[in-house]
Amino acid sequence: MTTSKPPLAGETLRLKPPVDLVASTVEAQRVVMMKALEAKRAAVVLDLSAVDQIDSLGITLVLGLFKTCQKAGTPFSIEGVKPDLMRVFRLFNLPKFFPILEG
Amino acid sequence: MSQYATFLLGDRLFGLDLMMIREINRILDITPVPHAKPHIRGLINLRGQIVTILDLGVRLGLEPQAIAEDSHNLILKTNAELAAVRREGDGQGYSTATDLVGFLVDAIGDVVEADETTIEPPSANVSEAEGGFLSGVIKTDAGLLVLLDLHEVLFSE
Amino acid sequence: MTSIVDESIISDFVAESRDHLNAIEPDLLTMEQGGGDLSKDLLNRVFRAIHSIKGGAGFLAFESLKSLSHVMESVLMLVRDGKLKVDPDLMDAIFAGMDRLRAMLDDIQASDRIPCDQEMARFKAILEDAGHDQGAQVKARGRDTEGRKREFDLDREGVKSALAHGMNLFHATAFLRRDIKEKGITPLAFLNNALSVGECLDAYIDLAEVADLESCLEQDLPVTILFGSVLECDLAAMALGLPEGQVTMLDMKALRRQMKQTAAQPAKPVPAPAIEAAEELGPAQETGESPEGQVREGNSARAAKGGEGGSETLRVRVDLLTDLMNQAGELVLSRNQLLRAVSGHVRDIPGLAAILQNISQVTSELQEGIMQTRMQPIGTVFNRFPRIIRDMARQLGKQIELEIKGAEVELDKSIVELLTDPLTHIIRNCADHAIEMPDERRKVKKNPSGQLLLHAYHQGGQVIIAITDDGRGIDPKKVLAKAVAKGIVKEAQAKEMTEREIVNLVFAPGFSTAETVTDISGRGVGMDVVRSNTEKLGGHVELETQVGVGTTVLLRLPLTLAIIPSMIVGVGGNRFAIPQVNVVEFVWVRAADVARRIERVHGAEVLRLRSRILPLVRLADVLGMPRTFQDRNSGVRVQDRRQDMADRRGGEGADPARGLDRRTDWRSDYNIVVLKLGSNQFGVVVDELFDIEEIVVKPLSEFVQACKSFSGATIMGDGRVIMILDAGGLATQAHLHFADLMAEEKLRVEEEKRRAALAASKRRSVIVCTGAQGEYFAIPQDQIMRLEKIRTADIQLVGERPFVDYRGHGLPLIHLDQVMEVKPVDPGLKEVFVVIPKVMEHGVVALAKAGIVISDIIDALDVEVELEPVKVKGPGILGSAILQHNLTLFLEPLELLRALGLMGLVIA
Repeated sequence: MTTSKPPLAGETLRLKPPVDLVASTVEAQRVVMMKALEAKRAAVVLDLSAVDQIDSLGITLVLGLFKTCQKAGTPFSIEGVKPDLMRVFRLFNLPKFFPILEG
Repeated sequence: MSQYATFLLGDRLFGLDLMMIREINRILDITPVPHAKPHIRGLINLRGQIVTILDLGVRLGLEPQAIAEDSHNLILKTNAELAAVRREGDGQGYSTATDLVGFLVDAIGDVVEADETTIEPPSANVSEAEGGFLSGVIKTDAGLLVLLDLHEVLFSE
Repeated sequence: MTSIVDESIISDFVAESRDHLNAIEPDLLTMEQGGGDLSKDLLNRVFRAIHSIKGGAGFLAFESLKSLSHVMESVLMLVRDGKLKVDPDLMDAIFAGMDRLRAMLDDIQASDRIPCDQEMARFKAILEDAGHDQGAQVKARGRDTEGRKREFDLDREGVKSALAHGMNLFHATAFLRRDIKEKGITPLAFLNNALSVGECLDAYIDLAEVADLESCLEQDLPVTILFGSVLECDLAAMALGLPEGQVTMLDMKALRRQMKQTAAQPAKPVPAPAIEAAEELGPAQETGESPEGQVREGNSARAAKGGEGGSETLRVRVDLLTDLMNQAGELVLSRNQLLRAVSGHVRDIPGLAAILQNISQVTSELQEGIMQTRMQPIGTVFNRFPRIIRDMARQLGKQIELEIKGAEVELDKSIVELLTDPLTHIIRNCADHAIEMPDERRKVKKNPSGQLLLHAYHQGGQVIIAITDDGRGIDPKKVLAKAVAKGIVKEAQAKEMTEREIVNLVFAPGFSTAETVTDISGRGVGMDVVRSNTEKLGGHVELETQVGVGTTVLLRLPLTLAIIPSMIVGVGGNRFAIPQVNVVEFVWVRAADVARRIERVHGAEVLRLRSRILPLVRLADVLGMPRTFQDRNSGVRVQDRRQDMADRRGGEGADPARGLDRRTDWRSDYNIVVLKLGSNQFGVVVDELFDIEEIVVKPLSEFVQACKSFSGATIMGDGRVIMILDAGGLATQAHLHFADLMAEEKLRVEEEKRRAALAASKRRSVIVCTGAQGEYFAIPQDQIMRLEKIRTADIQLVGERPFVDYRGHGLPLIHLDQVMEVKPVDPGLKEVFVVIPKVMEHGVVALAKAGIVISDIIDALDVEVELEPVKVKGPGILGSAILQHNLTLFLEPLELLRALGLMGLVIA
C-alpha cells in the first residue's frame, strides 16, 4: 500500500495493491482496504497497474470493494488495468457499472 | 548475493553466474569441425544430444591448450531452460544460446558467493582482446574474480 | 496460483480461428466464381466459421475482432438465407474483412487497436441495404437460481440465429468458488467449455448479489450465462459441469412472439427456419418437425462430446512432436547399439533372437509412425496460392489460371514451413514477370489466360515440386546483361558461359534485388534465398526455361529430415557420413589403372568413368586435413607427400627404372565415392570406406552453421560424434566448375569421332620412326608441330619425370616404354629425337607442352593401309600395319598426351 497515513476525509482514496490479487493475497489486501475505508472519502480509485494476475477470489474482492463504495455512495473506479485484466472485466460486463480505465 | 562458478584459463581465475550453467563434465572426446572458427573446439555427445564446445581460452586470445587432466566442460543452459527457471523480477540481461553450448576450461574452481552490487568495471590493464568479453570484476573472499560477458563471448564477431 | 487469463486458451482460439479462415478460402473463391446456385453446405460452412470466431472473440473480449466478425456473420447469414445476392462488391468486402480478421489474429493482444472502420462501414452499408437490423435487443424471460422471474436482454440477431438452429435458450448459473475454482479450472476455461456446448449469448455477474468488503470473500459469487443449445436441460447441465438445478430453460414461446413483433421485416414463419436447421443438423433431424417436439438424442449424444460430432483429428503441440521424434531417433540408435553389442552372444540365450527381432521391428515401426505425425500435406502451403493469384491477377490486369496437382503429397512439417516463403516468392514472380498481359499473349497466339501449374510428386526417394508457367521464359541475353551490369560476372567470363549457366545466374546473390521494389513481388526474398532455403533442407533447385514458351522451376527435397542411411567414410583418421541419397556409386581405382583413368583438366584432377569425366575432390584437401595413406607393412597412417595421383608409381626405395612392377603397388589404389548434385556428378577421394549405416541427423548449432561442407552431425553407435557431409557444400568448397567439364566432354566426343575417322581412313600421311631396336611407329604428319634432335645428356629428371630444356622452358618428355608395352629406347644413344605434337589453343595452332622421345626418324610416307587392332596395351595406339615389311604401331599423339595428363599442364 502506498499510503502511509490515513488521508483526510473528503479526499480521493487511491488504493494500489502491490501484488497480484489471488487466493494467497486477497485476505491481506481485504483487511488493508477495509482499514483505508474507515473514513469517508470523496471517491475511491483502485489502481491496478502493479497487478498482473487476478483470479476468481480477486474478482470477488474487487466487487466487494465496489459494493462497499456503492453502499456508502462513494464513486468508484478502476485505473491502470492491463490488457489481460481488462479482458476479464469486460467478460463480466463490469464496465457497465463503474469506469474501468486501461493503463 | 549471487553464486558464481569459477574456473581457470591459464592461471587466471574467471567466474560465471551459476544460474547460467547446466552442468560441468569431463566429456573430452571432442569431434573437430573443419573450417569452423578457431575458438570452436568441436562437438561432443552429451547423453544423446550434441553440444558445441567453445575453447574459452582461444576466444579470449590465449593459445590453444591440449586437453589435460584438469580440463572440464562448462555446459550452459539453453535460453529455453533459463526461461523456465527464471526468478520473478529478474528482468532482461540474462540470455545464453538457443542451442546447447559449452566452454572448455583448464580447471574448475569452487563455487563462490558474492554480492552482485559490488561488481566493478574491468580494469584498464586488461588486454584488448579480452576486454570486450568481460563484464566486470568482483571482490570475493577467494580473490578478484573476473566475470564474463556471456553475450559477447558467444555472439560477437 | 491460477490466473483467469490462460495463455493457452487464447493461443488455441487463435489457431482454431486461423484454421477456420483457411478452410473457407476455397469456398469463398467458389462463391465468387459460382454466380448461380451455391450449395447450402458451402454457405453454411462459411457462415459457421465466422460465427465461431465471433463467439470466441466475444468470450475472450477481443472487442474489435468480435465486432468485425459479428457484422460479417450477419452478412453471411443473409446470404445463407437467400436474402442477399453474391456480387463482386460483396465478395470484395468479404475478402477485405477476412484479411482484416487475419491481421487481428496475427497480433491478438493488440487486435483492439487494429483499425477496421472501413471494412465495418462497408458491411453496415450492405446490411442496411438489405434491411437488416443490427443491435436490436429482445427481452427473454426466465428464472434465476432463486427461482425468481427475471428478464434478460439478448441480442436479437443472436437469438434469431439460435432459433434458426432449433436451439433452446438456457440460463445457467455457475458459482465462482464451488463450480469453478474448486474444480481447479479458471473462469475463462469454464466459459470456453460453455462455448463448445452451445452458443453463448451473454455472460455476467449479477452485481446485486455481491456482498461488501467485509464478507465478500466468504461469498460464493454466481456467474450467469445465457446460451443456446440443442441439448436438453439435463444434458446441458452435465456438459457444463453444473448441477442440474442451476440450468433452466427460458420461456421460448414468449421469446418467439417477441421476435415476430419486433421484426423490422416480416419474419418467415418459424417452422421454415426450423426445417432448414433440421437439414443442416443431420439425419436425426430429417423429420422436419418443429425442433421442440423432437427426440434429439442422436444429436445430443454427439454434441455432448463437445464438438460437431466425433472429429478425427487431435490438436497436439508441435514441440511435443519434435520431442517424440528425437526420442524415436534415440531409440533407433540404441536399438542398433544393442544389436551390435549382443551380436556375438545371441545364441547363448534361448529365445533372445526372436526377442531382438521383435524389438527391432517395433522400434522401426514406432519411428516411422512418429515421423508420420510430423508429415503434413503440402496442400497446406499450396492452398494460399489461389487467393494470391486471384489478387495479383486483378491488380496487374492479367488473367491467370492456377492448377494444383499433388496437394496431398506429404512432407515433414519443418520442410513445409520452410518452403512457404520460397514458393510464395516463385509464384509471385511468375505472376508478376513471367505471365504476359492478355493482349501480348494473344499476339503470340497463346491463350490470353496464363497457365500456371503447381505440381508436387514423388520421384526416386525425393519429393519434387514443379512450378511451370507458359509465360515469357527467361531470356539468357537479358540475364547476362543484367548480371554484367551488376558486376556479378565479368565481360570476359560472360563469353565463356553456357546458356544453362547464364540462366542459373538468376540464383546468384544480388541478382534479384529489384530496382523498383513493387509491393507485389519485392520483399527481400530473392531467388538466392529460394536456393539457400532449399539447400538448407537438403534439397536442390533447378531452372528450365525457353524464351517465349515458358519456365519450370524444380525443387527437389528429401522426404524426411531425421533418419537417413549414410555411407561412413574415413579420411585422415577421422570418420564422416555421406547421405546415401547423394551417392551414385563407389569406384575403386587400382594402381595399374590410375595412369589411365585419372587425368588432369585445367589443372584439376578428373576421373574417367565410362563415358563421363568426373571432377575429383580429395576429401582431405577440402577439409584442410593432411593427406595420409596407410603403410602396408606397419599399418600406420603416414603423411603422403606426393602431389599427383598419376604420380603414384612406387613407394620409397622403388627403382624408377623398374617397369611394370611399380604400378601394382597397392598403395596406389584409391577409393572414390561418386556423388551427384542435381544433374552433375563428382568423385570424392577418401582413405577408407566403412559401412552404410542409418544415422539420426542432428542439426548444427548456430555456432557452426556457417561451415558449408556439412549439413549436420550425428552420434555413431560407439558414441562418437561425426560430421555429415553436404555434397553441394563440398563441391563449392572445392571450387568445382562443372561447366568446364562439360566443355571438355564435348571436346572429347569430337576427338573420339576424329580418332574413329582416322582409324577408319585408309589414306594417311605419316612419319615413320623407331623407338627400341626393331620397333617401328607411325605418327600422323598433321599432328606433328616439330621434330627436334636433342642430346641424351641434356635430359634431366625432375622427380621421376624426364625433362629437357627447350626454348627456355622445361619440356616434359614421354618415354614410350613407360606408357605402353614396348621396349625402351637404347639408353646408350647419344642423341635422340623428340616429336612435339600440334595442339589448338584458343583457336590458334601451338606447340604441345610435351614431347615423345623416339630414337630415329626413318621416313615420311603416304600410305594406304587398314589398321589392325593390337594386343599392345597403352593409350594413344590406333592400330598396327605392316609398312615396308615392318610391323608398325600407329600412334595418336594427342590422345597419348591427354592420357598422361600432359595437356594443359603448367610447366613449373
